[in-house]
Amino acid sequence: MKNTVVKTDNELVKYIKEVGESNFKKCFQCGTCSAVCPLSTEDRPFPRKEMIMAGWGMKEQLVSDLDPWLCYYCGECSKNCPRKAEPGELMMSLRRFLISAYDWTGISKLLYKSKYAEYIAILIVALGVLIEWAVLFGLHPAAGATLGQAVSPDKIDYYFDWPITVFLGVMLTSFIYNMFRKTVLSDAGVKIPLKLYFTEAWSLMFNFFTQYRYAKCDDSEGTSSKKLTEGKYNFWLTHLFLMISYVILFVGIVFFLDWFQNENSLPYLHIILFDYFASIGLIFGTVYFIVKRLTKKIERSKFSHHTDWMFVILLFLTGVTGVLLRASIVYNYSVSAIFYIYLVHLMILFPMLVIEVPFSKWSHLAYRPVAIYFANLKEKAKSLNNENAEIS
Amino acid sequence: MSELNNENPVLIIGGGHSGVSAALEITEAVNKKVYIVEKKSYIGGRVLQMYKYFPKLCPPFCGFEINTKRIKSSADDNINFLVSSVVEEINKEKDGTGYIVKIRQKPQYINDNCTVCGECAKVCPEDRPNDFNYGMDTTKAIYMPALSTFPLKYSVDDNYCKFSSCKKCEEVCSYDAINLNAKENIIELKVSDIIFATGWKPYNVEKLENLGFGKFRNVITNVMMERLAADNGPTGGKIVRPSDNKEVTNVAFIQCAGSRNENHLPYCSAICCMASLKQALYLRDKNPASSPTIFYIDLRTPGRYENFLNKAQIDKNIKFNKGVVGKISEDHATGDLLLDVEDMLSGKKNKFRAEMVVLAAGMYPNIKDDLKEIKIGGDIKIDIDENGFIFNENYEGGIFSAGVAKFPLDVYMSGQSATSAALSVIQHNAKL
Repeated sequence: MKNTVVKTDNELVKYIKEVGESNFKKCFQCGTCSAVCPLSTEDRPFPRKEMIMAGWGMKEQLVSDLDPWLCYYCGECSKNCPRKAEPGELMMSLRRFLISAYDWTGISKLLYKSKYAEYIAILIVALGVLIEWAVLFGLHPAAGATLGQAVSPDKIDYYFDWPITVFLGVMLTSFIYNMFRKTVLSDAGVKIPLKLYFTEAWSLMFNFFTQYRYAKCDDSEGTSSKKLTEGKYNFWLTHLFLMISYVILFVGIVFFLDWFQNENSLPYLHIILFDYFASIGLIFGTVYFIVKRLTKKIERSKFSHHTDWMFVILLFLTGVTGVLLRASIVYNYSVSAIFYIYLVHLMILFPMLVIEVPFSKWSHLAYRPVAIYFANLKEKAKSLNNENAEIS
Repeated sequence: MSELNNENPVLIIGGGHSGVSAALEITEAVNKKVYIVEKKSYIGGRVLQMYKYFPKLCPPFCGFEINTKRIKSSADDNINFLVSSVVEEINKEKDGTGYIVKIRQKPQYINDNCTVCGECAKVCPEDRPNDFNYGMDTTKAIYMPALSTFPLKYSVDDNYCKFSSCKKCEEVCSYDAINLNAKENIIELKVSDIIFATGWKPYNVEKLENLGFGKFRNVITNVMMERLAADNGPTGGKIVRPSDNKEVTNVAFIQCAGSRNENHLPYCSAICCMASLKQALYLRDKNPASSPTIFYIDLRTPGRYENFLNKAQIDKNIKFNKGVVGKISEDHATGDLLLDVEDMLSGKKNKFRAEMVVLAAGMYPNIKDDLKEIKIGGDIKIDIDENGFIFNENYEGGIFSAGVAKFPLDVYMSGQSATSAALSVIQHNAKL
């Protein structure tokens, strides 16, 4: 075995303690957690190694570790841990750490450390929206103006939707590149052939749209249909429903905003997709997770960090004000009522997008499938290397 | 030496190795009577159920037999045994000189005329699971509890005996040793001191649901393994597995089954590492083709026991896996067991196949449950720690503990703790 000097970082240990409720320092390395984990693989089992890496503050190893993203907090590890060290919660804390490690701006770290920083950040963005709105549309709708005149969809597109899309795109892309650098490029042991990036791309899409790893959390014997009727897939399906709803609404608002501001002669598809499916998904999903977090009955909802609450509450409020706005348009409320509801909706939506998407909990939507993709790439590349080594 | 207050006897609760040792140490040193109250119908406790035990790896015949020999050569009625008996009440004597103890003794169906000829068991029509062998075989309802039973006589299991509707044993006994109409006795004693030597039982490993004890037949406990290896055990000393009586070679020993687990027993049971090492060697001795694997967190072999570990490690057929088993499933076709486990030294996780699994069940102090059954006067101080052991001895009151009632110990250390308790009793009774 190669002798390596492990660099440890005490500040990191403190940070990981701050951003979650795992007692990882209590771990005595028995290996129960890795053994019971339904998701970890034979070659690189987790979370036992993460427990010791966190305990020692092994920054280099932690930053390059993709495994926290492969963990879905099934909770088997925490349930069986003989030290009550909460390995599942440690993986959650590590995801928070990784989000702040990929973020080169340092904002994430601030938001994870202090809830007041998060409140202030949200207020600043909300205030920014208010100012921008006041400049564009004033603080009252002009008398007798139609909705289209008072709040022009084109202006919303030009000054709100498209800039935010570009901003989020640039931020996330740069963070994902950072992640790629730290987790894939930094690993000198693996050279990934270009071809693999394309042949493995399916896993990115597949995991993004199915979140299939959730289903593997329950590895007991029994058919899928039986597990479905027993409610073992409820969390997964609700999470998926919420995510799909979110994506549908985001795409809809950015590219087809005029549909939302138009009360008649709408495509049938629009009503089904946006007004019913996605609205229900957003509100049902967020309420479901709020209830889970309040009742704390399952392992993965036992602990809630302030960023968890902020994300799910902002998402819920976005959904509620969105549905209210849409209803006020469909049922022909007065233009001035719609005007204010619209403003409030944006003052909640934009902080949610600006703060949560690149810097906080939302970003797992991007990092999870990307991490699975990267992990697949590394694994495939390794087995290719081994095959080549055998041939030569 | 100062004079000794020997008006009242000493009560020793528990007639296992610790209780008997304490009784001998007291009576051999000073002129004081002791009463040993034993729940079972024989003394010797768990030591008798061992195949071999530390430090010299002797079977109970060369170990505990020495104690019975010492009892036999002790002065008349200095040591009194109340077998099949439990303490029901302990109250302070009003003048503050000791305790009044109420003991309930189950009916003594067999008297001292018994010659252990065995004719009674031959005619007995009723079977009972043999608790001495942890239910791995059966005996008749009238039975010899163990090969080296002391007091040497048969016992009747009143949960299985049909009594007046049968009476076959009574009729066949030619020594007039059986009386199925015997009644229970209530005995009241005034004692100066009390030693709790209540011992332990293996932790109920069924609570470790992931490990499948009680669900999969080939998952057994370490105490059962002792019986399998013992020549007087259910298999005559052949280590075979329960599902098909196949002689096993590939056996997995799982350490810390209950111990060092905050969901079960938070403490280390102190003996299980040594027990598993010892049992791995049983297997190697009995079958050269065998290859046991020990799954551990860390191996705890204090002091000179380290040598024993070295001995086991030299044998290349004994494998060690750092990393405990998370989950066990059964291959229904073969009865083999599949263990989910990480090998920490390589960092790989695998499914390990074993023919039989031995769980190193932790030690659970009997006193924890016993104290719920005994009515104890409110002014009597017995310090129980959060795990149920009697930790802080009440010197003024003359209440002491010995053996595993104190904390997890092996046989050898139990003997030492018994000597310590005996000395405490003598000091407590010294007239200054």
